[in-house]
Amino acid sequence: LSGVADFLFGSTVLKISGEKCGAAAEDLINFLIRTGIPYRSLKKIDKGEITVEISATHIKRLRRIVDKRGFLVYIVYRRGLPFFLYERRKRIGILLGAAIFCFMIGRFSRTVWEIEVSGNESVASSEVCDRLDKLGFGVGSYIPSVDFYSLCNRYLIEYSDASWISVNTDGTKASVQLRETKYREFADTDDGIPSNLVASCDGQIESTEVYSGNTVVKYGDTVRKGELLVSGFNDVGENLYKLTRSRGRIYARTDKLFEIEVPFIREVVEYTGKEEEIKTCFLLGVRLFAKTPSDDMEKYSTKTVEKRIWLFDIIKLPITVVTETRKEFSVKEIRLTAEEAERIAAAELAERLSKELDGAEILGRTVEVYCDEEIYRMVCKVSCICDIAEEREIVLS
Amino acid sequence: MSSARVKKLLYDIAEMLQMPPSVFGGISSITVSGNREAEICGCEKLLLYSEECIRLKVRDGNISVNGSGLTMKSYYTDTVVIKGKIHSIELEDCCD
Repeated sequence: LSGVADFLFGSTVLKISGEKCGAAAEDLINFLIRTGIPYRSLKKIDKGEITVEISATHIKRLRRIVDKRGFLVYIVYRRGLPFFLYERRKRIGILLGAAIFCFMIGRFSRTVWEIEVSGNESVASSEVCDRLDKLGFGVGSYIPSVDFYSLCNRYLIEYSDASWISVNTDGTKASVQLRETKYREFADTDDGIPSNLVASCDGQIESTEVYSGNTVVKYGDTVRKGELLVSGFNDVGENLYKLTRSRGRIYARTDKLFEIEVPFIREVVEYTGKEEEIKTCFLLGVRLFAKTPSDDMEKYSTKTVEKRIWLFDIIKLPITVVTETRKEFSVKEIRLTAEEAERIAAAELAERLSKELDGAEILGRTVEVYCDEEIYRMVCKVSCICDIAEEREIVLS
Repeated sequence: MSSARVKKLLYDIAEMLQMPPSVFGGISSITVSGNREAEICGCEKLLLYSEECIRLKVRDGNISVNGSGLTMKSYYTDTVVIKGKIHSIELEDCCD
């Protein structure tokens, strides 16, 4: 530690001579020990001369004592921060650079460099970061100025899909732990909104699975679209009714119609091969510089890649380079052949069937194709057993 | 009571209490780390200082440290740290 103190406060190498008053080097050393001044790098040069390194803070005291005894003291050289700065006092650039360096170290070490999100399932990490950014916390935030308690509370008030959140910092890294709100499909408890279940389409009832409410249909019944299937009114006697939320699944045999239209004339994108890269550099979320894009592209698609800068593959710096690649394209009209149109329509139909008849039992289907000059039309009639129940809130006037 | 008798008494007390004799005043101590460093407590005066020999007057006699490239550093008035390659340490007129 004495070395660090000497560097910070400065030290001086002195030559002490006792030849004038006939003192030997040993006498000088004994004298030095008696003064109690800490010293190091003691060297005997001659019979009556020694060199010694002394902290700059003790120089005045030593000089005063030495002068009284009649010894001669010469300064050999000085070293340490105060002398280094003094010698360079006219070189403003160095001093300014050192001041900026100190400021940056102090400031950046208390700034958020990185945010890590854990515990999120349905909400993406980038979405959580964007939400926190809207609440005033993100990469570049000054940690001492952040009220984490208030931040977490505001997040929970603002976003109902989070049931618990915690934001902690470890150095310059912020760790966000999230617990999402989970809703059960059919909760045992009533949430207070009374509702009925009605038919979403015409059909013949096959089976029922009712969790709450009064079932008003049975196997074999034929229902029309909008007809009541499960009622939210519970008769508790004496002309009193309790309203509940109806929940359940009503399976019915029904026909569904799917119509796909594919125009023969389609617009297709054709890339011209012209590309432009726009690089933007961000330091702690603040944009430092960016290349100005040229305006000679009329229509273009963009692809953005974010790259974090690493120092020696060990330290993750708070510098992000965002590269936006613009590819120019032109829109061209082409005419599809009947085979191409059929292929597109078939693919679209398959997608709709898997999406809209998920969980349904398909009994049979017929596909009809109509074609004119402009449009290729595919009509698919599907006979299936599926859930036709649709929840409808009971509005009391 | 003479100085030698006082020192003898201090030694006896230290031995009885099973404590190092240097705990009591008036007795010097030497701590040697390998052959590179020696710390001498109870130093009163430097008698000789050269790269080959450093001779010190301690409370109970003289101590000579012989070696090569010897240097001396001290931060306290009665403690001296000698660095360098130490060949031998001689004690003169120490207590019996």
